Amino acid sequence: MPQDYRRFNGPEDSVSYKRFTKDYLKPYNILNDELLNAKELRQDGRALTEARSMCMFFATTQVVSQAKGSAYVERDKTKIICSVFDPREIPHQNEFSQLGQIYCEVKFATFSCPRKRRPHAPDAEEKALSVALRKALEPAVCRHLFPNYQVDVFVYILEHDGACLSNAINAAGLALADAAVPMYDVITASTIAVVGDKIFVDPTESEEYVALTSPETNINHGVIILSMLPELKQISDFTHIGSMDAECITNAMDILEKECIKIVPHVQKVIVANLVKGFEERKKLEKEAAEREQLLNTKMEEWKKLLNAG
Amino acid sequence: MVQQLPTSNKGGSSLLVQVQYDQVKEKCDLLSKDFDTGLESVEFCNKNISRFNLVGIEAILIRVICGLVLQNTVNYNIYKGQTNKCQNINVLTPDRRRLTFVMAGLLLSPTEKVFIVHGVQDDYRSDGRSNIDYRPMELETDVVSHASGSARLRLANTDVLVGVKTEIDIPSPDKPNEGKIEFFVDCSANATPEFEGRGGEQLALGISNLLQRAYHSSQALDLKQLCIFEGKQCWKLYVDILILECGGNLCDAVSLAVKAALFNTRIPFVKAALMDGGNVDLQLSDDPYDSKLLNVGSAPLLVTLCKIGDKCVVDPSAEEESCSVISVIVGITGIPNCYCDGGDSLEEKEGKFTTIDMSGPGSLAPKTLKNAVSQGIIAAKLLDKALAKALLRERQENVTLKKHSYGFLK
Repeated sequence: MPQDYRRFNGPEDSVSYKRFTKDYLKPYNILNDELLNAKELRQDGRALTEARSMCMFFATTQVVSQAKGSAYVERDKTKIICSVFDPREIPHQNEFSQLGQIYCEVKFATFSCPRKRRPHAPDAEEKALSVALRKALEPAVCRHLFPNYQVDVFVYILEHDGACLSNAINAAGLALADAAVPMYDVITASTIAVVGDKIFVDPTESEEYVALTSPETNINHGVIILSMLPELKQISDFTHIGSMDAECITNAMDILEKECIKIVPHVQKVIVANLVKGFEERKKLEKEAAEREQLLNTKMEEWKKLLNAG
Repeated sequence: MVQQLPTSNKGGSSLLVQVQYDQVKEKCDLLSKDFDTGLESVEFCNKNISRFNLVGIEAILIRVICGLVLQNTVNYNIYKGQTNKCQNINVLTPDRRRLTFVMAGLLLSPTEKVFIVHGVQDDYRSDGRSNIDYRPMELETDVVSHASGSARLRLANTDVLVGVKTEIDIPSPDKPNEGKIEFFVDCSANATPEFEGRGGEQLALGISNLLQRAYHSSQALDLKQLCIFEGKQCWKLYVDILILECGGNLCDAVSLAVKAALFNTRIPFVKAALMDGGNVDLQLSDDPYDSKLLNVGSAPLLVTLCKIGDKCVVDPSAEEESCSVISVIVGITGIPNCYCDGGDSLEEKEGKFTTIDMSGPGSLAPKTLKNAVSQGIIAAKLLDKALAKALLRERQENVTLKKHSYGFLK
């Protein structure tokens, strides 16, 4: 395990105290039973097929003022911030690349996860998420427009409560749009978790945990993430972990497709709002500039009069 | 305006049709059904580029489809089959370096590419196979003396060597009764000079991530068989994969070799595990042959389905891979019955998907993905049966006659 020696990492074998609490030691079947209550509702009161409402806040300058474009996506307790920086020449590369590249980095805040503290150095999961994010974004961006340049996309997960990759993709899509990176279509993504015959749309962290734990019996389980270019009806990335049969997969694909399309109006609203805001700001600036010019002109007139009089 | 151009000398299968502005809308309906991209794509794959080059439709067409304004520099070309139905937009990326699982440094002319694409369309590939055929492969197990298990697989020009080392570790607190498995892929610079230094890192990381995900579920590989002392000690399998040569279809070759190496792995028997004041004291047998085999019947195999034109092919060669912008990789669990002697008669369980992934810069339509996935499960089943047969035969031969080998590369 590579260690970051410049930081004080604390004792290597420290474990979260939560490991000794009652909740942690629950066996699999109890955890599974707890996911749904008697009314077939989930712990937070949602139905199985109901996604968390997306409340997004998205701004050019207010989220990350230094970045070219940035976005913040919040889904209940999953909170993600994403920033996109100007294209720059690809570092450490000898060969000319015809297509521009997207460099993605996904990072969990050390305090983001409920089960354990995240390390500072990127771990295997973060690296895998970065690769998945890059693969999802690549088909959406007109990469031929910036050959030999790379656009940096940084995603920081502030709080993780499930479906973090799909929301990272949503955030990155918005941030790219905000940064005015030319794209073929908006990009949306959604996640489902499968436990037996139950399909959880937009799962929380505890639901994902149960879905990824291997059960004793031979039932379907796993998590699927699908990202789409909804207008073009194209799947840009499909990630699946777990074990399930063919019927379950096709069923899941249909559900995910619908979910991805449901998000589109939200994303469009945010982009339009951002555009309107940009226009208004520009209008305001132009108005101010015109006022200043007028003021200057009147001053000039006065001076000219004085000059002529003197 | 539909203008039929003289048929090419390739048997007249590609009539070219020029689409004008007023027809774009009508064509779009056809296109959006299966508009598989890698939209960045600028390379045109046809024999007579000068004759078949269609000008004027490109930007308009894309604008209508995408609803987004694009620059006029993208050249899109449509070619049609005899049925006068728009078959596909063929888009190839010239930037081969970004195709994750593609052999580096391979150069194909547009003519060669169109030959391959047309061949796939007619279910007759350039090496004589149909779209669902694998190339012959060569498998050898127990080739590295210092590893607990090893295998070498040669699939046409793809050469993979896998060694499994076993070590003792402490199980993770979440799973006290399970062992561990870790995959590491090393892209040797022997395979291609581009892998030198950190060149092959991205490819290696991609493959090891894929394997890790495929082996994640206990339905793929039951890690409980690696437990020594619950919560205290377990076996950890280090699966090291060395890529000696790439000739296309790396993922499938790697997964086959990994399964063979795991099948070959011997884990020493633990005679006693004593608790000595909080520390575990293990007693192992002195006899190296006193060991147990792993139950790897359900270990997953990866099947790459490479999308060329409208169709998906299994086991693409390096040349075919460079004609494709997207491939789907599915991991499907094996059939455990095939891996025990005389188990053929037992009822077979249907394989389950343990991972699905896409590689390459393009994207694909939902329907194509569904087709590819169902094609994958059929291919995996046949592949697994063949592997089981070969491995069982190899094991029997090893028992009956002592193998004399002087190096595994022949």
